[in-house]
Amino acid sequence: MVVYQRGNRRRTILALIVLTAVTLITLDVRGAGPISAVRGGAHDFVNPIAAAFDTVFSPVGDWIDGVTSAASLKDENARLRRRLDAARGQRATARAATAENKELKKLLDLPFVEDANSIAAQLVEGAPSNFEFTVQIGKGESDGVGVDMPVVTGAGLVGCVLEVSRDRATVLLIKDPESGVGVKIEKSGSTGVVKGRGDSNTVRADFVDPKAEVTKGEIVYTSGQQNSPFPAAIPVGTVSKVTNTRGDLQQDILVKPLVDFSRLDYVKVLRPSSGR
Amino acid sequence: MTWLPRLRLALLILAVVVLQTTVFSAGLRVFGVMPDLGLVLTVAVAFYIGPERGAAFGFVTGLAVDLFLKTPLGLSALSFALVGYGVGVVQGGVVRSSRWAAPIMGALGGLAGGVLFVGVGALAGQDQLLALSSVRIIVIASVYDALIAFAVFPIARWAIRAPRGEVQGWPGHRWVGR
Repeated sequence: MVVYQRGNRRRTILALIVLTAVTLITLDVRGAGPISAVRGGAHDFVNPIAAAFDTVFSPVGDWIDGVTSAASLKDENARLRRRLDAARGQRATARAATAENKELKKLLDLPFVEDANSIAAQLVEGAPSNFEFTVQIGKGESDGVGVDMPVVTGAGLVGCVLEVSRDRATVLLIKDPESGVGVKIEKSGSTGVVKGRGDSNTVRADFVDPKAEVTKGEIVYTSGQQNSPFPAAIPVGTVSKVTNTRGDLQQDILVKPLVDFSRLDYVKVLRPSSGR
Repeated sequence: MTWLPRLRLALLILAVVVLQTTVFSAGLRVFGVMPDLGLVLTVAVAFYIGPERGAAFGFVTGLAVDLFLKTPLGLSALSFALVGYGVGVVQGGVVRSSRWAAPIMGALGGLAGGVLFVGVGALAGQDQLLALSSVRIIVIASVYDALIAFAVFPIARWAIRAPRGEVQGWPGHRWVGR
């Protein structure tokens, strides 16, 4: 009898827990407002503790990282110096093109990346789960960061702001499967949507016209279409593979992001210009 | 359970959240995969305190972790609670003193928790979880979970220990705290 009662109690407790969890999941999926506020509050509560923890333990982690990667860092340094020299030459050429582009965009009244106010921020944390591809930056609502703002580095597009608490923000990386970015392919001019592929080092460009001639190595930019949080002309990546099967309604295009997500440190959050 | 073990467990949940969002998310990854510290703690606590409290502890721990994820709130809570319940139910048949109990339970709990997270997540509309890479992540994470279980189990045992002389446990499974 006692055994029966214990089993019954167990099942009741489990049923209550499952019911509560399912209710919470449903409310969150449907976008119940208070849940977002609770999340923000939790971030604000834990952030100072996490920051203090980071301050104490990050030098140890950096030291371990430095010791284990000293040899590869030396090679990388030499390689980066060579790339810097090449980039200096390209920069001069790009300046002229940028000036021309700016004038043309003024005429077309399109949003422009350099016109956007930007907020520099440092990465403070990675994703706390294996199943999502986000990073935390050390700037939040109090610094003017808002949801859906694009996040970039000098190399190109990183992602967009997903959630904001007072002093921090969560950035959804373009490699996350839930991320979608409207893009334009350099030469063909055809448009598509770049979707993340999780822990793969490439993202996929969907909805590209099968008739468009896309070649490997082409640069992919944000298209800046209406209602997109991303301004036009932010570099996203380079086309790394094109498979165009006859009869398909779209091409199978893989894009290698220009941003190295494993080495992100500082990023810029772009605030939309007043005209947008 | 008296207030002291409850306080210790609450502090452990906070520690899990801080460690998961700092140390493990930043660098302590193996093949790009981090362990699920909250899940391993749930497995360890449930191993010592049984199914009902194990499930309740798993729910609270999962909920705390969920607050820092973009997946729906309650998803980790549900998977942790079910794993906690399962571990609590099967632990009666496990020899507690076995040195392999911690890693085996850690690995099995990690596997079950990962599969539940992906399965329930997919049902809740998180289609991106249904990918081949999820299998790889779950397998690597469960091995990692087994390794950290060596450290987490003694901590969990210390946390639930009652002050000297007090009796604790759940109905029918009482033992004297040392």
